[in-house]
Amino acid sequence: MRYARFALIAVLAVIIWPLIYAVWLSFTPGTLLEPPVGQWSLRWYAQFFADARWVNGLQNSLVIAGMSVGVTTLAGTGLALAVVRYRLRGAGLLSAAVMLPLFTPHVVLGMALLPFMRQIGLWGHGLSIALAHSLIGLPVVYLLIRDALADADPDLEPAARGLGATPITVFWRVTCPLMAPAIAAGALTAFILSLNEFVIALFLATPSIETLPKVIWPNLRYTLTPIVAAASAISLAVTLVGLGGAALIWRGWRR
Amino acid sequence: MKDRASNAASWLLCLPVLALLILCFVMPLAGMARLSLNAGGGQSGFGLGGALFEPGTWTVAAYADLLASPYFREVLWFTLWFGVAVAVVCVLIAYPLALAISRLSPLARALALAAIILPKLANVLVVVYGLKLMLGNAGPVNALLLWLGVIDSPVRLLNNLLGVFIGKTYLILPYTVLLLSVALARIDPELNLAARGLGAGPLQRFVRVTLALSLPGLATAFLVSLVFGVGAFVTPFLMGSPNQITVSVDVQRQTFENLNWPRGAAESVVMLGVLMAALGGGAGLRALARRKDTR
Repeated sequence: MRYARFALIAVLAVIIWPLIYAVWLSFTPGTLLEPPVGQWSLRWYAQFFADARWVNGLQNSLVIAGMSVGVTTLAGTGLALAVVRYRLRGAGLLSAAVMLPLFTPHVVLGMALLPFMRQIGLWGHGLSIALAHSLIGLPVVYLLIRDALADADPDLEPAARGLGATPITVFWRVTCPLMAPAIAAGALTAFILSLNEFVIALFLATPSIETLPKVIWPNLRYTLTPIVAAASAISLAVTLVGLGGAALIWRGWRR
Repeated sequence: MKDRASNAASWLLCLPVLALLILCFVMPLAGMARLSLNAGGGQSGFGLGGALFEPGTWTVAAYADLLASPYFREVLWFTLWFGVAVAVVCVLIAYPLALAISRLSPLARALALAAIILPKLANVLVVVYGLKLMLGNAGPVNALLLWLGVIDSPVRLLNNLLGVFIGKTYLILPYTVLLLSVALARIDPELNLAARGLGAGPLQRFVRVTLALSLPGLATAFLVSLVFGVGAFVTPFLMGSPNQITVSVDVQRQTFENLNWPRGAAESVVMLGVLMAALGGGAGLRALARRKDTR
């Protein structure tokens, strides 16, 4: 049993190690791909923030992720309410349809979206990328809110009605607070998923609107430079902050 | 009356989802199917002259090209073979991992699962970058193997089949482990105790209780890994050699390098068809197994 635990820790370390190694390497003072041992430097971070292309990429990624959060939250909350509270007919079908994009290879999604977005004139606009990213985030947001609603006591709302609250008051004072933590956790997850989604942006991004992964991409094909490590560390940092937020909300809610 | 009102309200609530699915999923996929039936732009010249496709035409030329092309047959064959192989590898690694995790205390289990999900929440490219750094000729993995004396000179772990395998396994494994963990968590621990009480040894308990009860979850985990493996794009592109092209890589090429969009669309349709057949077949098998069980 002790060996099993040791092996487990070793495997987990192997899984995490490439990420840690990339972050470690981002602090190298030299131009070689060697992690710093004695001397650490922020040189590559300075270079990242001095280059308009990288900074724009980061900004675009954040804005697109924000838009995607708006779309997934609206769509996911609506569907969860319809399924759990209004017992929508055809709910099973729609729930399954929401999951389908997860099982569609992202290159196929890109190949389908590129001509379509070009045709309707959204190509080269951040909104097209944000909408496509919403397909990826929606399943998670929907499942979180649906489970939160399903776990809540179904008698609370009729009770509030019985005490004389109008349907709108019931919605704002009872249903919304019940969903709020799940919506917040879902929104953060959708943000992270959009921030890190790459293949869709490869198809839909144009030079005028590139996401951070799209800027990283050519740097991985040809040469590996430490600036990619800095970019990786920055996107990991944003992700971890988001995750921490999601975890805090989740814990506060369970209590 | 009330029923009708709440039905109307529920459809109103579904409006955003429907709009998103129709605008970003159904219509683009339908458009892609239509695009695959257009005549190709044909000119393969890095954007110099020629259209990407000829609108308004109807032809099965793109599919005929695929059927006639030994190159595409090779690509498709490699893609399927790779998807199956990577799914098998993932399940073989993930099962013991999930089993070990399922026996941890709740806190340790949460930490272990968090460690497994973390790479999935990071950018794919960040993971690939880290892996490429690790696996390079002068990277730490080679250094470790040299130091241990396993090898005499650095071995190539990148830009070959091994590189693609390592990369894709890294990217899929978290999903496989998560799905298997869920399946294993559903098994009532009392069953194992009961089996022990009835005199079953550890091996028999594993095969006839744990493994038997986790088979549906195992099947799901395998199918999901297979779907992700067949869709492989980033790892073959960045960690493989030109001999290991998947359909996804070729679709991207047709779109951006050959500029033959009908062909890219046709390849996508073929891949979707294969995946749907695999998922449908899996679902059919499960339904069959369930019917046998209840009988």
